[in-house]
Amino acid sequence: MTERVFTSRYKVIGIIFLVVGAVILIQMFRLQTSASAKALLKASERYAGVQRLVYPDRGNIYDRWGHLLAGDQQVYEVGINLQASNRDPETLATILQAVLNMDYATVLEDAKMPYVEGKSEYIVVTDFVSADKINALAELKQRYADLPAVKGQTNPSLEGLEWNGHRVRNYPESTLASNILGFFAYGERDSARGYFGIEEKYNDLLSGVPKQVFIPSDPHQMYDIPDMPPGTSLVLTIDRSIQASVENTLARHIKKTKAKSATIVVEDPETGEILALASYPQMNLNEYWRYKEIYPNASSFDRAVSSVYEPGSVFKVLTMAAALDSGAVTPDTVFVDTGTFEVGGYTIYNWDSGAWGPQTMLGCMQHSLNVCLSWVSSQIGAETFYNYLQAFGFGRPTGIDLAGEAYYPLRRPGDAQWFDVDLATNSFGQGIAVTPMQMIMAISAVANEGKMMAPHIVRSMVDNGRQYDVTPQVVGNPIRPETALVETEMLSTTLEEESSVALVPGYRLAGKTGTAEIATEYGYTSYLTNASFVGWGPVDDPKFLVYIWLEEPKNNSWGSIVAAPVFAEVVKNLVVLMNIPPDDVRLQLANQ
Amino acid sequence: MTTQRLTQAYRQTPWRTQFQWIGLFLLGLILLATVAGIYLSVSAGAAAVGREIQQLEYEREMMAREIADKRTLLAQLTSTGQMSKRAGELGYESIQPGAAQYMVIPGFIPRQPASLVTSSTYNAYQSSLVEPRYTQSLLEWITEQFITFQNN
Repeated sequence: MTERVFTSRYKVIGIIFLVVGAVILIQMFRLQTSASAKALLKASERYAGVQRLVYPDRGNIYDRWGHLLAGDQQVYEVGINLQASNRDPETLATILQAVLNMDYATVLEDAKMPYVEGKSEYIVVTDFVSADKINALAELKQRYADLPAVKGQTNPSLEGLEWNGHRVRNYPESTLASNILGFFAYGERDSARGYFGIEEKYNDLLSGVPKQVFIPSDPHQMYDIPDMPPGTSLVLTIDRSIQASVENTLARHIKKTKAKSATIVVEDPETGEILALASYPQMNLNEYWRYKEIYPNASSFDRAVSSVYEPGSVFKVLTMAAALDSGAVTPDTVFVDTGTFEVGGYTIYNWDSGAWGPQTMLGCMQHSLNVCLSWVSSQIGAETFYNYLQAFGFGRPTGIDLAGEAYYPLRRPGDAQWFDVDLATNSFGQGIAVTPMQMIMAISAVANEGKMMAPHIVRSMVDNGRQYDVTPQVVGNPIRPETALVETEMLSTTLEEESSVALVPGYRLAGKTGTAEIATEYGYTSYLTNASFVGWGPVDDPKFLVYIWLEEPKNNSWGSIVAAPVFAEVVKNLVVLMNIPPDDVRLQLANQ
Repeated sequence: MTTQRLTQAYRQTPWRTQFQWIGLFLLGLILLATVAGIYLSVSAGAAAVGREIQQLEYEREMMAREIADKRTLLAQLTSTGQMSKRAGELGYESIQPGAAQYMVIPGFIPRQPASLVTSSTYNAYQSSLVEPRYTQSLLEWITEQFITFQNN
């Protein structure tokens, strides 16, 4: 009997354990698969680590000789760790007010914020603090920490004050080449990007590719912050010394002529490399947030590529090139200038409203006769003339590697907006809108024996330890080499014969002035002009092509008076900075 | 009868059997403690190294920032504006373009455009420092071996 009772009790206990066990298992399964469990799991993942987007260091920008034009500087984010046990809000507020010039009440409010795990642990009080200020804070923090403890008295403390370094963009040359470089708006932090110039055009390359990294909280877990290559660094074609010299000249002549703005571009016509590009006004790129005060319109940041204007008589270089190349005229062709030219019901006059009588093409260019060039364009014929303009690259962007390039559509015969008179006015650079960069590209064909080079500003790219050089590109051969040589000779002779102020002793140069009236709502006005000059040299082996545009000069409106001296000054400095010997020395060296 | 005698002759005394069980249990316990001790030691070491790696990575990041900062500072100190200011302070004057004379210096090698590459920087960022064997689980390792075996 006893054995049976025990057996039955064992069975009951066994069943109870089985049932309890089964219930536990069922409950475990239920808990594991419930919605709350999933939420809990998800929440726990949040604390397992952090997903961090790691940005590569932004690539640097150098001039052609390796001088740093855009790099990184270390600044600090300052914050308060609310978990710090010995926090002293009053001292924190006093010190941050004294050292960082912050508002006492605001800091005090932040410093008094209670610690709430997961919600309010750390508060950023300011950012972009320089290293010297941080050194001052570190010294004070240490001094307070070293204060001897006095019984019954609480020492002032900077406990909880923390700082973390990070990079910001810095431009060591401040304003130099600002129109080229653009800026990186680092204040936007994670969404920061480049604006204008190189910084915008090459933003993706300079930034590199950010990577998402999971950093576990558990130190047992192995993780790897990828050893990310920095963004691509760029070596520009510009020469810092030439750029500085050109900017000094620009500033001087802006002051002298009281022009509204001015632009100077220097190019190597053989390669299309831009050696210097300056546009007024310029800005200190380290204070990029002020750019809207300086440039109310985005197009004025870099007028060389973003502003279109009627170039005036410098355009005659291209009209004459088309005429010579098409065989419409030769340098010796004579045109009898009666002072007027009738076309499409309009009358074209010369700049002085005078009649210059019989003139060769050399004379037409030397005296910059609108009437003559209008006749020349009629000899070329509208279709051929515009084919040449298209071949010179007008009506489309040059493709220069700078952000914000503008262009104006080229109106051709057959277009609704084209009239017969346009052929004449376009021949002397009115009624057509171009950028200085388009002019540089087109005229590079004349300076470079018919080969038109693509203007570019990046010389090479440094990526992952390798340097890739940019190959100069020929973008067209709008004219024959003979035409280019003949016109260069013509434009050199014209400068010499009129004893232009653009001449530089010791160097034979070719060039052309331009004065274009500016269209207003009342029509063209002779007191508001765009004064230009284009020139290149030495004529037998051109090493530079210089384009100058002065917008609305006040002291004198003529390109020959205000723009030609700028060219001479630029060239006088260029030949020294580029080590170009005077023609006689160069020829002597070549013959040795 | 003979069988019973033989069984009695070879049967352990109850206390001896109990001791054997206790001994076995203690052996198991010691083994378990040893394994736990080794595990603790290794994982504590790994954790310490992990923290050290984190610290070193932080230091490396900081040093890279400082290098960039110093490079920029150097560029600021040698910028065109600063250099011309310093030259002025030292008594130098800008030459007037017309006053410059071209001199032919035999053997003069003009400066070459910048080359910013050193051989050591190439491929410096190609591979990860942490090999997969340190991060993958046993299952991942088996899968990888299986795939490798299949491909071969």
